[in-house]
Amino acid sequence: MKKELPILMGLIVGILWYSEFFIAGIFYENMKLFFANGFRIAGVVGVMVGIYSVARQNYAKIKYNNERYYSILRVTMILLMIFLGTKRGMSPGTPFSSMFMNVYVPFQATVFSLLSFYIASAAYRSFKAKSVESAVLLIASIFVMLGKIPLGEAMWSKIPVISEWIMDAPSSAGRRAIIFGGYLGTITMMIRIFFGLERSHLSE
Amino acid sequence: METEVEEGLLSVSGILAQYVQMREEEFKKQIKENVDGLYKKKNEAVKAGNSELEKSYYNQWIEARKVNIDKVMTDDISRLSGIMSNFLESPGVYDINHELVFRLKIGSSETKEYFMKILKVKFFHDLNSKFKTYSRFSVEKGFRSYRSNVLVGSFMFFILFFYVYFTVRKKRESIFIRRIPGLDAIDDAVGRATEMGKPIIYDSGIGAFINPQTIASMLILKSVAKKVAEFKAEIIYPAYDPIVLQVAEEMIASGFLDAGYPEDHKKDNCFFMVQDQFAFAAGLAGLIARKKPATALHFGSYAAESLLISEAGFAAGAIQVAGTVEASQLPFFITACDYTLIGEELYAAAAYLSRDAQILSNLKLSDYGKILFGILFLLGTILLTINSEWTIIADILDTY
Amino acid sequence: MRILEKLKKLDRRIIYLLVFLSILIPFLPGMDFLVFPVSTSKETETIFNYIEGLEKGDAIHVDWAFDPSVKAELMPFFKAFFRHCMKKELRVFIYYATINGINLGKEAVAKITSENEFSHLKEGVDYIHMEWVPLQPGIMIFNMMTDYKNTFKKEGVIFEGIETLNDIKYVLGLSGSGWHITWIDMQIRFGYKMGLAVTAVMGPDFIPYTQTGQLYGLSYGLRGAAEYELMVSEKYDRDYYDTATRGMSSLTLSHLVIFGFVIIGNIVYFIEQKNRRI
Repeated sequence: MKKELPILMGLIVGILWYSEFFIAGIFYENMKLFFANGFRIAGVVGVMVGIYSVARQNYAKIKYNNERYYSILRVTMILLMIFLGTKRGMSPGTPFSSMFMNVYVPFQATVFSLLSFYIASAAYRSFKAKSVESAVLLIASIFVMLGKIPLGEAMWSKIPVISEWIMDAPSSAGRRAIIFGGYLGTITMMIRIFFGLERSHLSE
Repeated sequence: METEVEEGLLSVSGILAQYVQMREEEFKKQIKENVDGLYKKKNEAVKAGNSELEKSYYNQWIEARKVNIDKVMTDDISRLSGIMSNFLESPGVYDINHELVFRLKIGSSETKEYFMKILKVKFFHDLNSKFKTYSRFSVEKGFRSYRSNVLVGSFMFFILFFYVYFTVRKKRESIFIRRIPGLDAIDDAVGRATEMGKPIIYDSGIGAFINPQTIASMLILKSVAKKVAEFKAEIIYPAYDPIVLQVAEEMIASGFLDAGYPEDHKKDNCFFMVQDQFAFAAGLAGLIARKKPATALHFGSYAAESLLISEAGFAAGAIQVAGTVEASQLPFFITACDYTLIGEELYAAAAYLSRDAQILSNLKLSDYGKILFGILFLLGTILLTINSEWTIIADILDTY
Repeated sequence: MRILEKLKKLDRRIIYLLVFLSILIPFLPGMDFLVFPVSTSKETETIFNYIEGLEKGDAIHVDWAFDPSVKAELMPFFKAFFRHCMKKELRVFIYYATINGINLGKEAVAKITSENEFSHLKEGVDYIHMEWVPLQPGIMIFNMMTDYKNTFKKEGVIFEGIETLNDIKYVLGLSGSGWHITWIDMQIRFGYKMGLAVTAVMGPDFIPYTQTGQLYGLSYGLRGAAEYELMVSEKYDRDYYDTATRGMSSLTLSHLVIFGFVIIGNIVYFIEQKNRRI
């Protein structure tokens, strides 16, 4: 029963949404609103699961682990932000917003900026003309990179055209094949879940 | 009173619908005339030798053929109901805002009036939107015939699926799967972790649980967890999504159970990290740098954080195997990881590891699908290249 | 040979330092000679021309799905786009698909509306923030097709005449991830017009969709934002140049540094191969 009920519910909901594609009617409109509310509730429950997990993990760390100072900092910051948000609101100009814009935003931006450093070092390490194919790849990439910076056009006006062609034709063709394979895999996976053949997500 | 109003609205929208349905023949004629007219114009452009004009008329002709009677009628009814609802509508700002709170606090004589106005406006707005929905669906109801190609196609796919499923189940062992070096490496990688006494870090990217890549990743996680249990190693799973975390915990637990060592599973090794793309990347990179794992496995859906994670693994000297369908992240994984599963190999991975009949049939079905659609695409392209009016295959495949 | 060995095992920190300097130096005063004129690409032009062709009071839905991490790349685009919409007197609905975007977006809009030129704008009339709803994009689009306003549970004058997503003239997605794939998949079914502004890393993923018509316009990376700034500034003859245009020289120099490293890496590799053969 523990396994059959979710599978049965999955099948019914699957049939409902599948038939929605082919049949129009007010019933389906109400169904959509019903599911939207359901998702909202599930989203809130998901947040609760997250809070529980964070609390459990940090509690264990503070109690036993030598990383406890980080955990204490983490919990303090979470509580501080909750406090600031509930006390004075979150609109621009409040302490919460100020903390967000001046602490959180630079932190996040820093992590993303690391990407450029990593790309540089990865390019240096592995971008080598080891074979004919990789030589072609290297030349193509140089054209694309030059096409993306204003200097490229200043050097030769045809560079953006070539770069655009590389992105539009060969690169997109390969990408399409990967996308297509991915979607076929997705469809078959969905059929399996639809018919209840896939049960591993129910821990069977 | 509510039901009375609702019935009234229903009857009014029914009358509107009847009026629009009466004009069905007229609409049909209109559509046909439009398509024929554009076709004629295109042919005239061909005769005149104006290729630019021909191209634009051709595109318009293709678009005009997609117009179906349901949509025209829906458009017409929304035009009519728009006129009707202008009588109902009385707009205004009536959110719960500072002004309302302020007025309620003061409690002046205007407050009641203001409050009543808000309620009235809200009432009419709700009526209005209900009315529009009703009238739209009193015209557009029943089977959408223009989607019958999808219905037939999907039923054919279902039949194919069951055919493949039952044949595969009969001869499971003899089915050939191309060797995937990355997955063979997982065995060695897990063994290496045991020898070095270091943990294995497994992450499933930033997909939510409805993402099929995440589901595939969970299937791989189960097989990996089983191997980890057999080798007596340790697996750490940091989660991006709290719901995925619940599934992953179950997966690891059942993997350990399958191997026969349920007591070795440490619950604290699966934990929720943070549901934020780059905070997750930073946290995971930090975790890898601190734990210095022997092996880091990345399977799932990734965005821009892929290189941050895999470079951290590279710097820590871990053996890394990654897999994702996101084409834009593959180059990063290929440069920084030892092995990468490309595209649908991620889905194949679970079949390869478990040799489970269902997952194998999944793989076979994808193959058949590729052959089928590949032939259709090729045929369609050839036909359209020969003559731009031979759109039969495009029509079969078109959905809207 | 010792240099060769050193280059082969080049410390990553040296690479990092050079990249850092190449990004920093163009921002210093007196480095204007690094600025080169930008030309516009056809995908960004598509967005601009479509917005330019809209009429006063038409509705735009902005699906804000990026967090502060990619602010540097996408914020300039949003600012230029928002200014353009406000110049055209369009109604802009800004929905935040990520919680971390809410304050970012509000601050950005507040900054623009504090400028003299845009000080007459009012929330709920010219634009509206629609906060965050815990819904997956798929189910949200279905709901927006049924009842646009009730999906977000927001009210205001701005919603006048907007019943479903069909009444929205253009959807602009801003994201640093694959979030908008669902929107693109659903486009075929519902037929809304949609454009995307994504980070340079994600850009190539979406190019195939511009060819099929599922995406109507695509701008990627800082380059796309710089192009948009240029187009808006030229059209309205005002100085709307912002961080994107200024950042282009940084982009140029850092690309050159990476070129340099790729070339050095290849030279080292070839010399090594030659030595091995002997």
